[in-house]
Amino acid sequence: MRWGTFLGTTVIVALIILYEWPKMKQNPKKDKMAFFSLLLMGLVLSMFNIQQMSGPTAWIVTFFKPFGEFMEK
Amino acid sequence: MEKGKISSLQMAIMLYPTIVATAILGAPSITAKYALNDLWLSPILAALIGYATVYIAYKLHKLYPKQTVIQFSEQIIGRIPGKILGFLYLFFYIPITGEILRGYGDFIADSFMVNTPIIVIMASMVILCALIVRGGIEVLGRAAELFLPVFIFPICILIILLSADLDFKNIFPILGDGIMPPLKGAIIPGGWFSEFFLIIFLLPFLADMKKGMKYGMVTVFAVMMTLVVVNLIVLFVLGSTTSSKVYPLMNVSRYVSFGEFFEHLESAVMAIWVVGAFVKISVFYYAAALSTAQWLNLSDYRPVVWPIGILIVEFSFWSFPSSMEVSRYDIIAFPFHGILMQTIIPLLLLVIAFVRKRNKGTNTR
Amino acid sequence: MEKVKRRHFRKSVLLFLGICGTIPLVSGCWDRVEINDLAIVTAAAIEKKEDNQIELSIQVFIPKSLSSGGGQGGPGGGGGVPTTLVRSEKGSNISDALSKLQSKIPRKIFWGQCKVFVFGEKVAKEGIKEHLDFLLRHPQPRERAYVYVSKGKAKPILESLPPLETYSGEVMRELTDLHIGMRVTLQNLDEMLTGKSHAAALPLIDILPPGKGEKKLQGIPYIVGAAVLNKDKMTGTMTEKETRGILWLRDEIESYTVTLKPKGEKGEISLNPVSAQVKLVPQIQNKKWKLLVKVNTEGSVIQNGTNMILSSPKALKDAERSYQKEIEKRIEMAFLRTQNKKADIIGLGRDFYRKYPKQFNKIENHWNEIFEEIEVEIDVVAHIRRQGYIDKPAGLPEKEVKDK
Repeated sequence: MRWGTFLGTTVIVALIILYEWPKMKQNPKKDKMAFFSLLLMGLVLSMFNIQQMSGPTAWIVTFFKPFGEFMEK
Repeated sequence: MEKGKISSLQMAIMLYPTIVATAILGAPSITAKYALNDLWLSPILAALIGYATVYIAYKLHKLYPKQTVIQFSEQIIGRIPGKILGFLYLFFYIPITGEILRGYGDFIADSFMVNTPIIVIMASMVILCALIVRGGIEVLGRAAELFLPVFIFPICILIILLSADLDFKNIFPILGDGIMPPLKGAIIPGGWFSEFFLIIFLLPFLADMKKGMKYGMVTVFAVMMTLVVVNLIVLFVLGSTTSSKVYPLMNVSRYVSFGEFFEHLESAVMAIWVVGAFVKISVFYYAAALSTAQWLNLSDYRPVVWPIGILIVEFSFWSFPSSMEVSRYDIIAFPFHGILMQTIIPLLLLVIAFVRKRNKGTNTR
Repeated sequence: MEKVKRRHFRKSVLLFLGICGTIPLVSGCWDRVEINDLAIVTAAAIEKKEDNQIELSIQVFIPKSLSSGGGQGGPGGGGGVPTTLVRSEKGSNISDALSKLQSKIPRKIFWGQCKVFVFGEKVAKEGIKEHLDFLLRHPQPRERAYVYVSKGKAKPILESLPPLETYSGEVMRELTDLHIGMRVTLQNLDEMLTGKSHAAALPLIDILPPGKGEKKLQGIPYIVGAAVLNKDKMTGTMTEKETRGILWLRDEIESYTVTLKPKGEKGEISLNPVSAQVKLVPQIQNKKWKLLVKVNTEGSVIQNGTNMILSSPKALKDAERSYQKEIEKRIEMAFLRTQNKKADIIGLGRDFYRKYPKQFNKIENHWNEIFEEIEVEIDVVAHIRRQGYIDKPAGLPEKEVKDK
């Protein structure tokens, strides 16, 4: 867990909510749900050390391994 | 959701830097690793993927005007499979935007701002792009139009000033080891050319839809010519050392020496790169935001722009501990992933859609 | 009303925060550099020291010297203030030495203007690969910088204070730009080493000792020949004359003087400037590797010590024939010398690869052996185009002029 990144992201998330909220008050509930859940995803991800973590890109590399080996030959 | 309209010329102007910006910087050396001194042939072969992609995208658009791939895939293959496919597209465009952003940050940090934390370089770019994406497609189109001269002018200047240093003999032997090396080298620019599938997100907002196909093809041709010329210039100046450089165009621009006083043109490359990356990231960002909103059936894509910005920055670091890892990803995964998602799957969708339409036609008759 | 006001307030707070956030960024991020914080390196030398260490010497430009010395006494008036200073430091490699050097110089070392790199003879003999890596990898050094090998130690070359130019790095650069010796940039060197021939040649420099009455350090560096590198290691040297021959073969001849002795004549004729187009045509005939050198050369007479009057067609033809023979001899000599050195510094490997890629790929591993046995055929077309301001040899009575 990296506190610096997490705190930084929290501040940014707060700023985004502050900036966006007044504009999307009339939007349907679904929009608000999506908005908050995406922000939450971002916040959760910032808690991990994502540089070293295996993520989607790493999975894609594994998925295309046969082709990758062809290119690395 | 998106009420703006752009002209097809604007679409072409948006797409050109989107493909060229990153392709002229890193691709020559990656291509040269496989194609050696035939690297200029690779973009020509790779452009076939570009033509095919534009054709497929336009045909799909013809069948389902006003819709993007996220929406019509539900109609073609059913609701649940369509949603899954849509999720795969989200999972393609958001990480790819992150990866492009990382490439941008790495280049700037590598060659100009060695001490600046890369997150600052990248975050400032994302903020800028988020603002323009929020502005909508019209703003994006205008911005691309505005920056096009800044993008093309330095390339032309560079080529003119380098003309004294070109060693044309470096091109020989042509096809010294047969057709295989340039063919293998074409796979990587092929990934770039598959990015032309982005027009599926722009076509529904064209004011003059009929010209969409024509301008798409013209853009592919322009990109191909640019890549061929840039690859040749790099080859003529750097020769056998091309494949060892990370940013060959950078080395080439530093080689400029015109009358002993007109030197050090790397700032020109910097201008190309920053402007190009800005347009490129914006277009990808727009595609990512629009498809997220459509996938979730939101009423507007604007609320998700900022949250996706955070995700893009996070994806630019995720599983990329070093810049070497990023360029390795560009070689071993991106070309295949890009071609699969942006050329092969759309082709399958098109075939299914055609078969369905025909079946429907025979049933009603 | 209330709502609008609140929104307005919120907006201005955000704007304020945004502006505060961007101010530290617009001033140029973390990489802001002022020109008076830079120590501009004008030349650098790398030398071998004992126990596996190298010594990096850099010549740093002193901006103060220009404003104080140049103003009144005229540039370089009476020796004046030196415009550069030389600092050196030992280390296990360039970057190690550089970090130690930085602690001796109050400004940040900047490589962007460094146009001269000198490798000491010892370092060149042990291989320059790892040093080249630094110069090519670091974002600041230019690919266009010239590379040299020094005869003996490299540091004195940087330390010398030449009377004519402002600093010794400039002397070397100017000399090289005259095309007298070889002219090799970092990019050329990299290309030669990574290319098909795996060999390179670098100009060799030495210090011309100061003349009588001049101060001790006022010797100037000059080009004495070429260093031959096989792979990245120096294996031999070539004299100035041999280097000229190499220049012919590499088609880098410019502002060159040829002196020839026509058959059956007493004196010599000199031609300058001589221009030449040289074409190397690789051939493989019956599995025999051959080289055809096609030369098309022109010159104007600058000195005529013979009794010939060159305006007569026959004399001109004679002179041209001996001109042609002279060039043939030079090129053949130079080619044999390179073959003796067992290093393809002409870049023939590349030429053969371009014409016969398949055959070359088969023998690439023992190209040097093939290179030693290549037969050469030289085909020279030589013309004398102009004869200067006088047409008869000077100071010769009318009777003794041969005009048949």
